[in-house]
Amino acid sequence: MYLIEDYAEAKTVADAIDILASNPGWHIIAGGTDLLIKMHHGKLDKVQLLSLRRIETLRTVWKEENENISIGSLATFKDIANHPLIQQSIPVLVEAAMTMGGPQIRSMATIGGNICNGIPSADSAPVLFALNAILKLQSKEGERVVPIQEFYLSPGQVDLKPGELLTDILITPDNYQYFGGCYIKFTMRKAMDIATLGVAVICKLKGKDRFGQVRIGLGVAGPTPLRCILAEEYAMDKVINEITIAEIGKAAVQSAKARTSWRASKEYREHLIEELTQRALKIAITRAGGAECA
Amino acid sequence: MAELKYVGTSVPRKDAIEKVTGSAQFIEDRFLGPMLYAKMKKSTVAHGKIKRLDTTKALKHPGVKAVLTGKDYPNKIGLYLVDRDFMAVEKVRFWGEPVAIVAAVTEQAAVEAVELIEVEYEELPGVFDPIEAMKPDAPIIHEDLGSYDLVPIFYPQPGTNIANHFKLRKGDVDKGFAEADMVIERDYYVPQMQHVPIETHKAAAHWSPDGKLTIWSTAQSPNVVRQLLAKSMNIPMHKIRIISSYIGGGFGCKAGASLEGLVVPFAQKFPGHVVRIVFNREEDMQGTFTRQALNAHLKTGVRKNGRITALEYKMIWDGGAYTEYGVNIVRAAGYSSTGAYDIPNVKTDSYCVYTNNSIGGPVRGFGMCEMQWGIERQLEAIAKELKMDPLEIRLINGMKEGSTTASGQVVHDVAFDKCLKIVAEKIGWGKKEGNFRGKGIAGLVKCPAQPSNAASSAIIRINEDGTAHVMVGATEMGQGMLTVISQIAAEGLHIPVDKIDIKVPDTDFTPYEWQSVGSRITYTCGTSVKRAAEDALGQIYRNASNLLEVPPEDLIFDGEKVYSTKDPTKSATIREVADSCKKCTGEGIAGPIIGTGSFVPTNMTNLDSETGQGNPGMFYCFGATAVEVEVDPETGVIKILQLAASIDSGKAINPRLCTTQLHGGTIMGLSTALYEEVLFDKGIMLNRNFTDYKIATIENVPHMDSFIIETPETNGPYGARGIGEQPMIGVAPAIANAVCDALGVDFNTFPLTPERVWRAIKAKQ
Repeated sequence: MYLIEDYAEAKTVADAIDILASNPGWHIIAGGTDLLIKMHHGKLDKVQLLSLRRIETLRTVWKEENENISIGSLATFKDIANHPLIQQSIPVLVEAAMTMGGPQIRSMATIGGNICNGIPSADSAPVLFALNAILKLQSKEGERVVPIQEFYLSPGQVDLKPGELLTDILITPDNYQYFGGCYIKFTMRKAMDIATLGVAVICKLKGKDRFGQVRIGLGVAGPTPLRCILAEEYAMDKVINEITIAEIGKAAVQSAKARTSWRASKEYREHLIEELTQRALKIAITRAGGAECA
Repeated sequence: MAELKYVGTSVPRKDAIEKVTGSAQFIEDRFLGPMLYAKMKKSTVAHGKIKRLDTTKALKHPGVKAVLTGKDYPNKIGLYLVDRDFMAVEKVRFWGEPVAIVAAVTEQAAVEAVELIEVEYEELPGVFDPIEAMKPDAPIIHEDLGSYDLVPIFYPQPGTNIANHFKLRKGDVDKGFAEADMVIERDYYVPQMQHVPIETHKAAAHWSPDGKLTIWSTAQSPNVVRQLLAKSMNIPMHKIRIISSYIGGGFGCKAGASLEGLVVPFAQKFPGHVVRIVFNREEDMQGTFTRQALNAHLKTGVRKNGRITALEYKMIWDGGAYTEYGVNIVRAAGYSSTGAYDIPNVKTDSYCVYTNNSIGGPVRGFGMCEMQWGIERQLEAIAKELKMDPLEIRLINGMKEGSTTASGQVVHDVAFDKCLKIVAEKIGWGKKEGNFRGKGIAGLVKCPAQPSNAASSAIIRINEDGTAHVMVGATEMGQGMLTVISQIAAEGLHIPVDKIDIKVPDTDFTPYEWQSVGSRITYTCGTSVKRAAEDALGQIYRNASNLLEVPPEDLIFDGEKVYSTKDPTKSATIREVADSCKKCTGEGIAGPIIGTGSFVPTNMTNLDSETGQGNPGMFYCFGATAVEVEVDPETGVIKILQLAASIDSGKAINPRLCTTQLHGGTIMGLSTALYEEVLFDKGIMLNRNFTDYKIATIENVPHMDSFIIETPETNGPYGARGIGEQPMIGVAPAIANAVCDALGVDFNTFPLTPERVWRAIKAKQ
């Protein structure tokens, strides 16, 4: 059932914030691909909805003068996948966006919605974690900036205060320039599936044969998306070879908090983390200009 | 046989334009009248007594017209064993079983009222494993099993949870094992799966004050719905009308009668209203038939030369909470228990066992996918022990012309060897292609599972302009019935397919058809249509003979006109013959032409109750599947490199539709092999949505090579036999055999999920 008791469409961000401030119980609807399902399943009933769909400015992707790439929270996964700027500057985000759902869902689902739902399997999260994405939030009280790693609190819970709206996702140049990246979404089937594990690796090289920085973001490896700090620290300045790559894979498992569910066992998930981190890393290395590792 | 003009051609589907333009009507597209909406209150325990059921608050809810409970309506229903309550009466037997039903003026009001119904249960110990359920101290699920009506070819054991014990004894197994050089004994397990049709179950009912009940239903079999409701509710058949729409997929889940009975009492209470129930996806997954899980134990005796001398097959099926239909799956698997192979000595015991899981029932394959999984995996194990080529052991033991089945039925028109060889050759059998790559093959067979007197009938009306209407009781659920039946009619009538109209059934107007199940419609309905067409053509010739004064045997009808083969100037247009034919003097010859035909198989018999011997097969359809896979040894992901499938259709009435059926069945088989498994936790279905119950998508479907073999079926219409279910049967074992070949591991169950494959690899290391 879709029992919508009230519905408003904001035309500007200011408009949306005003409505939210005076109607604290309202739910925000963007693409609706998660919200409508919750309503249909009776998990949300008799709701008041504030739609953002008319706020065109929230959908833009652009490069600021300081080279920050700003992605509007209302950009759909299709927008992101097709955007020349992202294709050129952050192709790993395109790779992740294309793994999400199917064509119809990618046309509707927004990156802001994907983040604000706070689910551990969000397809945008591992990459945005690896990119140290910064989230811009606005409310009556003004603007607040939060690193994405701090935004995810627990499964389904994010640090979004009442009356607050996620407006932009920022990626600063030191977090995307000269990086090569790879996202592997491991699923039980090839399309229309949620991740059993999502692995995003980005890396920068020192010369041809040493790691500069390696960043690893994982989805469905714990209660929230997470970063593999131990593995990243280990990688710093290491010579690139089979042994160091294997060590990075092993170290990645130590940051994960995988658990057994009827969907997959902890043991298998951890094995996948170790294996797929290495696979993603090898591809990321070549994309950063390094040599192929067998 | 004369050259065929319409049969054997790939004419476009009759329903193509309607379906691609979105104008085809399914139940929910039809305006039926002023509506009431029904919603079920479902059990929250898997096994329990209903201590208190209070509908007071629900009844007071705005918009609610009525609330009914099982007590108001204690009728039982069942196709073979009448064990099923429309709604639970006194006790519930599975999680999600309807205990009450609300009718309201809006769907929302009905949903809200359902929440207001108060139910208290006294939970009873449940049993969720059929092996446990067979133990003497197991909780009994149907205390009154002994008093249920049944078709007397089933053998329930009152006082236990055994709803049917099918016994088969062929030859002398002890002698067979004594003759064997080697005996192999292994266990297999096949989990529950779901059909997942694109359209869920739906029904609507209307009661007219003169006592006429009209039902719109997604049922595969309007006539069976009519028959079961007539019996269960004591209404004469002419007072029940079942109207079919296009059905968005059946695969067995809409066979028999299921939800229609839920809305009838409301319709009777509120004449003039149409009361509709539409299952949502979760209800469809959990509340309708699931494929029964199978625990199989096989003991096979084989000689060094590869000849199998004896088979002992024990099957324990999870029948779920009600087995009204499931008992026959257990029987069919029992009488077919040697698969596609000729084994002289067989002892089979097949048990249908009640548990507190969802209701078991028919699914494409009707027990054959489950039962032949064991057969085909066992052959692999035997071949490995004998160091014999898996293809060769299948050719040595495979059925041939004149072989006997497990039930001792002699099979004819068999080219199983051809089916096997063609797919093997296609994938380059015998050549090892590299590490982590492997090849596998499996054979398959199935006959329609139906009562020996399951009948079909057809009426053909010739219009004044020489076009025709074909009326049959078969349903169209995507399988292509309308097209194939039109082609058979066209061939018999000599009238082109595009001058023939055919519709989905309405029992007030279309003649009897038992059920659109079991891959039987092309054969049974097709035969009745062929007979009706011959009857109508005979009338065309008789009328023309009178009109032209030419003996009928000298006449030929070319679809436009009837003329004398001796003197072609003596001719009449079909309009002159069909439009209340009269002579030039004005004297009438004959009225409108109506051809009729009916069919009942004459080659089937009952089976002996002790030995299971007899002829249960109207025809046997053979085929084979061969696969090459590559496995990722680290993640366990299987990639299908090659997939070849063959089926012996006898005669492909419409080769393109045959091929699409072969594709569809193979994909469904592939989906079960790799992804599908219903998971229960103490009777609660965990993966009852499409996020967690995964079926193959287009992205998961590899290129397929399809081979339609045509070995004419002597009694089939134009030599045809049905192929709807068969292509699914061999896929899971063929894939498993290929994965085992690739990795040197072993599986006794599927789906071969990445984690399961990874565990097998790890266990080997």
